[in-house]
Amino acid sequence: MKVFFHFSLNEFSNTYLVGPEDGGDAILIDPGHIDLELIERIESNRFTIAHVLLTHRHPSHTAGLGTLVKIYDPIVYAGSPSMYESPVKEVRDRAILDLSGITVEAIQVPGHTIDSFVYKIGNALFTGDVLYAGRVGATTGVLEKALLLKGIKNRLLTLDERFLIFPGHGTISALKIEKMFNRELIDAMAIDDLAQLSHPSIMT
Amino acid sequence: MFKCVPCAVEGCRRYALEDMYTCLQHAENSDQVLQSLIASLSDSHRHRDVVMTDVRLKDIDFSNVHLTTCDFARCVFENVDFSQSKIQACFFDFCLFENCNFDGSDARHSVVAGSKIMGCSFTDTLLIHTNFMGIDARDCDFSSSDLYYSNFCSSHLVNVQFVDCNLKNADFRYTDRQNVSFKYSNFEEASFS
Repeated sequence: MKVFFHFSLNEFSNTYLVGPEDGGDAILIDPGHIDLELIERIESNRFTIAHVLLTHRHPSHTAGLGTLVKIYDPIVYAGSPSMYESPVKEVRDRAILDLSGITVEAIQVPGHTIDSFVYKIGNALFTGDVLYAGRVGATTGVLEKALLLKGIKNRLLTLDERFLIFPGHGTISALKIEKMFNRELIDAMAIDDLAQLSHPSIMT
Repeated sequence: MFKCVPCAVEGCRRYALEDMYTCLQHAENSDQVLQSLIASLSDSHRHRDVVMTDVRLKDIDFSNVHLTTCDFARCVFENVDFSQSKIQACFFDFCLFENCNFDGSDARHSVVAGSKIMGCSFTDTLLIHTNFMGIDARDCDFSSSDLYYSNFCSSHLVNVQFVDCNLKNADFRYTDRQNVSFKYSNFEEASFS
């Protein structure tokens, strides 16, 4: 499996291209902006974009969709199908998708948005705006922040720490690195531990 | 991306080498396998998805190597020359680098997080989108480098030079800095808090 990183200067967001070694049907994750460089990357690897995975609804991760569907006609998967102008297949929490031979597990981690998903492909987690290198996703309020942190703790930090992290913005990372050096995550988990000591039912 | 096939030896948490059942440490003739791997990496061809973790490399010339999506986690690099190399989206997490030279290299989208870096030179280097989280760097020179969107969160930096660097969107939050120079760099475009 090949994974390519594409950076969009439009919204400083990351798009990932995942496809088989010898070309064929590929997956594009979060097409924030479709430019010539990305098209050349797709074509030079003899890929056809058959599937698009959206981690959440924000334009910095979806704005390139209009251009993309005109070129490749892919099946688009997302958490909130009603949010999009073109047809989108709804993805459910814990769904296992077989996308042209590539197995994808969808993990819903709401908080940044209600439809935020992390996609697990092989040893890689495509985290969108749920978890970045050194940060957790931005939220609009304390309840959303608590929901996000609970999701990260229960759904992501329980995975093998060797999982690689491909976030929607910023540098690539690994779960072990985030556990050790992501200060926002460390502080939140410490507060969570304290809360559990005094009120064990709060965060469980 | 490199394959994460577990080493066939029970209890070993390392990944197997490409086209092998075991990691380098559990391979038959591991010294010979390591030497052939080094020789193969040293040529000017592009190498993808190589897994070579937990090894000690000393006095090796890796200048002009071309590596993409490789895993070199937990290695020790002593006096290794990576100058003018192209190292893209490679993992060097939790490594030790001592007196290594990365001058003029292109190490974009790579991960060096958790490493200890002593007496190394990264001058005139492309380090855009590179993850340096939690590094312990001492007597290092990053001058004239492009560190656009690089991440130094939670790192410990002593006697480190960032002279005339591009620091736009670089992340230096929670860093512990002693005698660190950002002279002629656009540090106001980086994040410190």
